[in-house]
This record gives sequence, structure tokens and C-alpha cells, in this order.
Amino acid sequence: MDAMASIPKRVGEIRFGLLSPREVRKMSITPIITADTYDDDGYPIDMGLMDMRLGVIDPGLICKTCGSRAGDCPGHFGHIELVAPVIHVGFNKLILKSLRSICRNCSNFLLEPQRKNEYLEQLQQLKIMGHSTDDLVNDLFKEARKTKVCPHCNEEQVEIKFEKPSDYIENGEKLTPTEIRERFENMSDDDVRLMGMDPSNARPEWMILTVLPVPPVTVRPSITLESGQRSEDDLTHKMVDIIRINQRFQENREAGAPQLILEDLWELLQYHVTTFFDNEVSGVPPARHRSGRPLKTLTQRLKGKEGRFRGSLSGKRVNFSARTVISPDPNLSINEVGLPYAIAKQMTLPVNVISRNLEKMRQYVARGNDVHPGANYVIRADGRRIKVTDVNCTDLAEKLDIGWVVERQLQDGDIVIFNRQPSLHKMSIMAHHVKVLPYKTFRLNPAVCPPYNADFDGDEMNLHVLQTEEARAEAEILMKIQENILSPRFGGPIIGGIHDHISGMFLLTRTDNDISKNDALDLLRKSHIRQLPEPAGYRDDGEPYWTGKQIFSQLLPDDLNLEYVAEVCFKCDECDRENCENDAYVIIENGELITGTIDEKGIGAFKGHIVDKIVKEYGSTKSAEFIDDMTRLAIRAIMRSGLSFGISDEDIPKEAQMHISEIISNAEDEVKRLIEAYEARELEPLPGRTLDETIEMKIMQKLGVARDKTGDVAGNHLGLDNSAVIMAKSGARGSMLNLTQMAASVGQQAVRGERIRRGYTGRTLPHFSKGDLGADAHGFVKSSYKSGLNPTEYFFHAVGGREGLVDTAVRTSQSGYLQRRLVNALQDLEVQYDGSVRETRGVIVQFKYGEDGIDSTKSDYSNPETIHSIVKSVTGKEVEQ
Amino acid sequence: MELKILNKTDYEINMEIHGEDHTLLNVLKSILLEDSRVEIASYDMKHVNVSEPILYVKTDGTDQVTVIKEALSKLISRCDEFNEVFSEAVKAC
Ligand SMILES: [Mg+2]
Ligand SMILES: [Zn+2]
Ligand SMILES: [Zn+2]
Ligand SMILES: [Zn+2]
Repeated sequence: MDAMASIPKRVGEIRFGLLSPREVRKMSITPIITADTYDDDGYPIDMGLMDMRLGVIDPGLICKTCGSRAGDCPGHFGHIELVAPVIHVGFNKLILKSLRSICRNCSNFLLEPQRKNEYLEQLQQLKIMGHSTDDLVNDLFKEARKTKVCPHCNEEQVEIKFEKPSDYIENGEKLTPTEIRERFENMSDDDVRLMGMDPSNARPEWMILTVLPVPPVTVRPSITLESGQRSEDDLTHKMVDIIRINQRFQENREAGAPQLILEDLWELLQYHVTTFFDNEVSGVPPARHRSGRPLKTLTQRLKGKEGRFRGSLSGKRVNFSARTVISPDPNLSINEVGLPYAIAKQMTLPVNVISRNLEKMRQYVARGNDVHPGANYVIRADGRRIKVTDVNCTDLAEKLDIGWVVERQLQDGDIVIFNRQPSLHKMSIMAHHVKVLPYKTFRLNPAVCPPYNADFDGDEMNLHVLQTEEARAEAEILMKIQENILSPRFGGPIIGGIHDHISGMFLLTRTDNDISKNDALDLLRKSHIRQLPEPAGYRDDGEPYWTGKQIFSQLLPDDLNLEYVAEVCFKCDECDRENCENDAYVIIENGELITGTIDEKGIGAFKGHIVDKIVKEYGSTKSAEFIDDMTRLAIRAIMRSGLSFGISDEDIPKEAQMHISEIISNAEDEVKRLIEAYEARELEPLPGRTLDETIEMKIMQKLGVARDKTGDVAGNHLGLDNSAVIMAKSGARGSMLNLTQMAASVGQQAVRGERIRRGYTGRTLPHFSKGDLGADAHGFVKSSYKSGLNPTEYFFHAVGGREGLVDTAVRTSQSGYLQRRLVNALQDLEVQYDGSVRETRGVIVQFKYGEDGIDSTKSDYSNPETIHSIVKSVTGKEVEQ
Repeated sequence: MELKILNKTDYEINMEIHGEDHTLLNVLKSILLEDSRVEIASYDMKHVNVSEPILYVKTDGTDQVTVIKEALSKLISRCDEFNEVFSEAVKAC
């Protein structure tokens, strides 16, 4: 056996089929006849469920069947002879289909003989060509079911009904498993083939069990509790039940018990066999433990997230990983991750000791495992692992020699892999350099939140320590944050300024134009810049001053040239370009910001043109440096003026409020007029719409316009001195709509894009009369969040809000499943050096990657015509489109 | 206190001052900036939790060591002055 075990084996083919009773008996080592497991001495009973021939699980014992020890013995099946046949739950559907398509009298497949031959031919053809026969077989079942009179014996057919969990009713009478089995037994091999089965592999009568295989003990090992008591596996419990009922059935039948009792016992046997296979069949009460816990039987072992497939086979658990809550730290570089000392002291990295690092590694070991950075294990040249402790550290350090391996603790600069679930794209797992810090959370630069989709409301992340030089090199080259600034999804930066970075830059480059030397140096303090340009001018007192644009320019590469329209642009009909009154046209000449405001379009994640340009033209190291410096400058800048928002920032003057209520009441009047016209049947329906649809659309449109108007009124009174407006216009956070809803009017609440209609018959709430089509009766909220909603408005708002919650819940679960399927289907595809995409067998999936061979991260926002910008940068002239 | 000079040219200096923080360096930097011979004076701590402050001074060409020494004596004299005024005010009340 030992020799056998070491020979690698290759799976030649896999054949799926049904176990025939003969096969079950053949592979069985013994029939199991007694429900008792151990005798009084604790010795397994022969022909019991723990029969020693079924395999060994206790260490030290030798298997009576194969002679190998626990661990080597694969276990061996036994079997139970069922006194009466029972149905296998897993095949209910197929049994029903089969019963319906064969004659109740002669068991012939219900088709004319010559049709049968045609179909057999077709099936044969499909098999030869390697196609699936499922569709054809299903057609066959359908056609046979339609046959009302048997073409072979002229017997009239009766509809067979299925009743949960496993009853087949014909003419109001239940068919016993024996009767069903008989019908199947009488089928000819050709008829079986018509049902899509291979009669040598799977006969339909084998779906009705007469012999039950007993799984080996290795599949259902018993555990010895601390008290010395044995606790048996759920499957063993289930087998005990089956054997007991089986015995009782036999005894009763031999004693000539009345039919009624026998039927009850038969049902019971069916129940136990059913729950043995699947304890969650609908219509069957699950079998339970004495404690009330449902038993985990065969199906439950395989199914679901924690089941054998998803939980044990696809699921991988790893060493050298850590998980904790994340928090922000703008002092770190985007390439770094803050690692708590407590974790750094437990996670190790193997270092091979050579002559050149011997002294250094001695120091690690000498510090022991409690002083950071120390060592936790050393591996001697002979392969023995020794734990480093306070007691043996000096000794080990002395003995340390070339050829040993030291598992030293993590320290600043080590590269690790950092991950946040759900890992939906490659940027969900990136490499960072370690920075060991006090306290207990992982720290990360807030600029890397977008690729991980992380925030700090309690999110946790995972960290993995790479154990080989090759892995570390790959992580450094491919996985580091700075190598993933550009997203292949849209060819732009996914890492850049967020929230306050954008507000800060906006304030600095737009309004901050009188910065003293002290302040200028202070703004740049956290960057690597230690110089100032010529001052923009001198104050009356002779002191020099600088502008925010100048300070920002210090971070830009000296030869950077760029022109674009900023986020704050009013989208005027004709652009005044550099003369824009709104300072929204950004011109950067030779690394100097000439005009324009820096906002989301300049430095934001996703949209930042400056970040994009720097990554594409100056490389990743320079970009990381720029993002680090830029975000720190922005934070210093926002701290200079301060940016806060309170309830009073939503205040608008009295006349504006009056104006708003006027706009709303006008709109309501218009709606009223529309309704009158509708009721007088004077309303013209829109093309392709019914009258009801037309009035709904017109009302929605009127109210929508009204809300927008109120927003404009509020917007006119809330200027760029309002911090919420600054955040909205610069793209930092929030929108003007949010502000409108807070200050002016919340607007129409909708369910599935329509006004709210559900509720009582003819009306949404009892507060309105039946058939009221008015604005307030269908969810128009005229109040603002600040003024507060009235009760009906509040209710409608909750109705509309719920839709959003349901949508997100449904979307995440659906997209999760979609992702699983997509990944399973595509995971083995690989782009080859010749540019083609192939799967594992080498079969070509795409001749050119993505059909165009373009790496989207290297194109200009996935626009393949990057050539235009290249020509422009060389010639200085715009290319004619 | 421990001081490490990171680099030094004719008119520049970069030094790491262990065991000190904003209390000393912010005032020192301000006094340095009062001096017209000083072009740049700036300091920073790379990470608030774990780093030591680094002071950078660049002059118009004057010897930076003398400039810093002068700034320090200016700082001391200002402290002395404050001490005097303070003691008197306390006495007076
Ligand atoms: Mg969160
Ligand atoms: Zn064995
Ligand atoms: Zn028939
Ligand atoms: Zn404009």
C-alpha cells in the first residue's frame, strides 16, 4: 500500500451514473444489520455502524479491510438491505417525468415505434458529435406526455400527479415505490435511452432504492468528548434511525401486522432515507437532534457558502495574514500602510542568513521576540525550527550561522499586500510598504480609499505578508499603489484628491491670493518643496506676498503643459477660455498655473486631468510624490481658511422664501388646471400615450420644473462664500440638488420613476379624497429638509426612500452572483506574448486582446486616439479632427 | 536632546533634532524668518506619531551657522525679557 500511495495517479475519465443494487452490494464490505454501535466494553460491534471493517479513524489501529493506519485507510462502504423500496429524493423530478412518459400497463415509452427509431437515431448523432442531448430528451418527454393512449397495448393513460415530498398519485391513489419500480423494470433498453440515460450506467428503477450504501466511518468520524464520552456524527445518527425502522418494518411484516401499520412504517422509512440524503426538502420536517438542532446530512454537507465546494474546496485560508479596522492617516504616503506594533511583532518574514547579513540578523535574534524589530523563529541548517524567546535569544544569536533562516518581524519598508472585500477588481488588492505605528488600526492615506472603496465607518481590511523574494519583487513591480493609479476601466486615475483635498485646492487656487512668506513656507511644509518662487508682489508695508496658484505650481513638474475646462465651468454657450470670468479655464504653462481654478477636474480621483497627465508622462514614482505633496498641501490650505457647514448655511432671505412658495403654489395651480382639463376630457394625449399616462407625465414635468426653479432661487442666494456651494461646485462632495433639497424644496417622491400611487383604493392615504390627482396627494414634498416635512410628506419620503434601499440590497446580491459566475468562466484566460487571449488548452478566445490590442490604462481616458495629443505636444498645434 | 546634521552646504543646512517638537522649532523658525538674510526657514515632522522634527535653513549666502546662532541668542534674550517683564508684573499686582 505504501508503494501504491506514492505513485501519482491521473484521472482518465469520470462517468456519472446511478448505483445499481448490485454495485452497492459489490462495493460493500459487509451488510449492516444492527443499529447498535459499540458493545459494553466500548468495542465496535460486528455488522454494526462502527464495524471495524468500515475503516479506521483512531490513531494506532489498523484497518481490518486494507491493513493501513488511520489517515492512509480511505474507508470502506457497507450496505443496508432495505425491507421495502423507497424513493431517492434527489430524483423526484426525473421519476415524475419518466412515469408520465411510459405506459402504465406495458411500460413502453409512449411513442409510435417508428418515431422512437427516428429519435434514437438523432440521439446517436448528437452523442457522436459531442453535443448535449438535454434539449432533445426534454422534447421527447413532452411529446410522450401528450400521448393519451398507448400505441403498443392501447391502454388509456392517466395523468400522474406529484405531491410533496415524494408521493405519486394516479387515479387518486398513491403509487407505492414497489409499483413504480416495477414499471421501470419492465422498460426496454432502447426506451431507457430515449429518456437520455445509458441503460448500462443508469436504469430508471435504480432511482428507487432497495439497497442503501453505508458511508465509511472516515466520512462520519465520531469525536471523543473531554468527558470520555463518544459523540457520533449526524450521518451515523441518521443511519441508526434507518436501521431501526427497517428492522421494525421487517418484524411487523413477519408478524403479519395490519396493512395500515405497515404503510405507516413504510412512510417512516421513506422519511428517514429522505432526510439522510437531504434534511431541507420542502414539505418534510427536518430531522433534529435531541437539542433541537437540525441534523447536517449529505446535502447540507455540500450545499451553500460553508459547504464542501464553496467552503472547503474553493475556499482558501492562509497564514501570515492580519485583519483589523482601518483609519485614515494623511501623513503616510499613498504607498504606505500603517501597521500596529502588536501586529508587526507577530508577523514574520524569512531571511536566509548569509555572510553579508549575519551580523545584522544576529541583532534581530538577540532582541528576542518582544522587542521590535526582533525575530520569532530561527530555522537551523538541518531544518529544525526553534522559537525565539526571552530565555534563549542571546544563546541563539550567538549560534546563528550561515545557512540558517531567521523569521524576523516586520519593520518599516517591508512590502505587504493589502486587501478590502469585496475584491471586485484588481485594485482591491494592492501592495504597500509597511510603516509600523502605535495603536491598533491599519492606517492608510485617504487618497487610496476610491480603489478599495473604503471608508472609515468601521471598515476592516486584510493584510498579507509575502514570504519569498520573487513574490516581493512582483508585488513591488506590479501591485504597488503607484503602479495602479490608472484604472484599466476608463484609462484615467482612480487615485487622486478626494473631499477636502478638492475643497482645499479650490480655496487655495481661487481665493487665496495674499500669502505671506511665513504662511507660504507653512503651506509647503509637508511637501518636499523647500523653495519659493519670485513673489507675486509686495504689500504696502513692503512685505512680499504669493498667490495660491504660485504655491500650487511649485508641485508641478517644470515642463508640464496642460489646458482643460475646470469642474466649476458654467458651461457658457461660448467659452472665453483664458478670459473666463469664472476662472474656470485652466492653463498650465511650463509647470506654472497661469489661469483657472484647481478642482475635481484637475486633481480628483477619476476625473483629475493633472494627475492623469503626470502619471502618463512622468511615471508612477513622480505621480505618487505629486499626489502625496498635493493632498498634504490641500489639507494645509483648507486649514488656513477653515471650512465648516452648519444649519445656518441653509438660511435664505425672507423674500427668497416667499419667491419659492410662490413658484410652488403657481406650479400647484398649473397642476390643478391640468387636472381640470383632464376631467373635462379636453387634454390632448401625447403621441403614443394614453390619456392617463399623459396627465401623469405633464404633472411630473410641471413639478420637476418648479423644484428646479426653487433650486435656482436658493442657489442665487447661496454663493461661493457658502461652504456647501464650494463643495458642490468644486466636486468635493454633495451637489446643488442636495442643497436645493435642504434649503428650498425636496420635490417629487417617486417609486419606479412614477408618482406614488399605491396605498388604499383610489387614494394614497386617507387624508386625501378618492381620485385626487393633485401634487400633494401623490408624493410631492414642497417643504425643504430644513423647514421640515409635514406628516404626509414625511410618509411619502419614506416610501420613496425605501425603494433606494431595496435597490441597493438587490443590486449588491445580484452583482455578487454575476461576478462569481463571470470569474469562474474567465479565470483561466491569459494574454499570450503574441497578443492573443487563450484558455488553458491553448484555444484562442481573442486573436487580439480586447479585439483592438489596446491597454486601456495607456490610452487617454480609453480614447484610442492618443496620437492627437502626442502630435500636439510635439508640434504645439491642435490636430484637425 | 540629540542633534543630527543631515546635510550642509555653504548656505543651507538640514538637521534632525531628537526630543524636540513644535514648542521650540516653531518659535525658532519664526525668529529665523524675521532675519532678512534668511531666505527659507522651515521645519517638519514626517509623521506626528513617530518622527523627529527636521529643520531646514537657507540663507542668501551668509554663513548659516552664524545666522542660526544669532537667532538662538535672540530667542534667549526675548525669553529673558519676557521673564523680566513677567516677574515685574507679578510683583506689581
Ligand atoms: Mg464602510
Ligand atoms: Zn481500510
Ligand atoms: Zn402500453
Ligand atoms: Zn467658462
